[in-house]
Amino acid sequence: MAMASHVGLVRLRNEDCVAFNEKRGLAVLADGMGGHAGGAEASQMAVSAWMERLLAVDGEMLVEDDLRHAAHLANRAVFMASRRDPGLRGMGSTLVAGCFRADGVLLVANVGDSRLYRLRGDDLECLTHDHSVLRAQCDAGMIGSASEGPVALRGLLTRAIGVEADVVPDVTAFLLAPNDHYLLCSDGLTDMVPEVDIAEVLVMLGGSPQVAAEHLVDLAIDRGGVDNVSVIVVSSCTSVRLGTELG
Amino acid sequence: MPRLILSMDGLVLKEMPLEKERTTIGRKPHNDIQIDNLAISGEHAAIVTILNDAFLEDLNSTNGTYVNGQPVKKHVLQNNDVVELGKYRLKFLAEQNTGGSEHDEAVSFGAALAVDAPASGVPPVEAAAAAAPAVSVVGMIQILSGTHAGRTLELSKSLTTLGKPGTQVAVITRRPHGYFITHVEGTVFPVVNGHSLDAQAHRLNDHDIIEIAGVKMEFFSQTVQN
Repeated sequence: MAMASHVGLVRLRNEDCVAFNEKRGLAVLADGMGGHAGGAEASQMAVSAWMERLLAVDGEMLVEDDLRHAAHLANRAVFMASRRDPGLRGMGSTLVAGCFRADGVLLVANVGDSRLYRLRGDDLECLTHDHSVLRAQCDAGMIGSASEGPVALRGLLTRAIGVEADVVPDVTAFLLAPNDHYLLCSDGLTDMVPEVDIAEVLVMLGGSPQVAAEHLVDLAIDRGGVDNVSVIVVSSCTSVRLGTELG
Repeated sequence: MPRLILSMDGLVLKEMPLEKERTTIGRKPHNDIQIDNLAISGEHAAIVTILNDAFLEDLNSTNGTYVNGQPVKKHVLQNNDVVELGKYRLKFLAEQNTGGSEHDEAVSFGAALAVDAPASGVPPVEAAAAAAPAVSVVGMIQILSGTHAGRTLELSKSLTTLGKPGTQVAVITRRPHGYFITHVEGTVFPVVNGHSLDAQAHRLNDHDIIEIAGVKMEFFSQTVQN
């Protein structure tokens, strides 16, 4: 597992927040919103509430309900803070998280438009469904693809952490396969770098998550880097390889 | 006429046209734009405006002048540049009718970029080449030793991996400002001009000699007709 995050070329603050715990197989990424101090605050709160809840589960295998509960707690932390502090009012965050279980199951949770991709062989597949206005319009057949919609609607979410009193995350389970590579990313990456290029980087560099993560961020920056760019790359062979290197 | 929008913590404080040839910014009252805050130096920065062009200069201020998050001494202001002095932000707008307030900056930045940026999918290197005269510079690798000695390889893609998987692999990345080599896997790191690299990306210069997995090769750039 490796992560990289960059403020981008236009924004002054990095409102993205990323964290992972390789030992426990946890990765989480949040993209804050709400301008000013709020965005960065919201994503940090969401990530720490999320990690705290899941790391507290000790000795037992995490199940879908643990992720739902963690999302609920993350939402509450951000929502309460924005209620308390007028300077933070209106802040919110996306959240995408992977829980790579030792039994070969991947649990994915998401709220908002940050994504989790899987590269298997040469196929890059997005395992999450954006909760955004453009995505909803696209699903309803109003527009051909989410990138066709008006720029003004870009980034407008239908679900977010901390905006309402409670939130329902999408939680799905997948089976891990050897040599899979996974990517968690904020829209700062996907708005700048087309999926074919993301796939190419993961095919060529997925085995070295740190190099891949840095290269993906570089690509987004080279192509404009309008927003904060954050990625986490998880390679399911990393743990196996580490084992053989140490043995 | 170019304008500046002064804001702090997202609140727009005032909007000022750049009327004078030289506009000074600082804490002391004689400045054209006075910002009465201790983080601002007495004479902090100046903007020289000639028609629609504006040049920002930091006047050796204590806390520095930042443009789009980067510290600057001298800087040619571009439309939508954000100048930061302490907690204050000055947004530079080159034209009168750029619409949009400070509050929807994300949208106006997005819109501005949609016009200027190359269509997604076209790497900036090629987009720049298309606008420029019909030549572009492409990096090449010539293998100097081993079974493939004499062979050349064009580095036209954004990523080219070199080496033997499982033994030693390095990647050469093509970026708008040049080619970079990075170690990917293996216990031995690539050697450039006799020096072993560390984990950082290393910029390649013309006629650098690279050694990966026991094979020597030379990097050089070539001008190609489009």
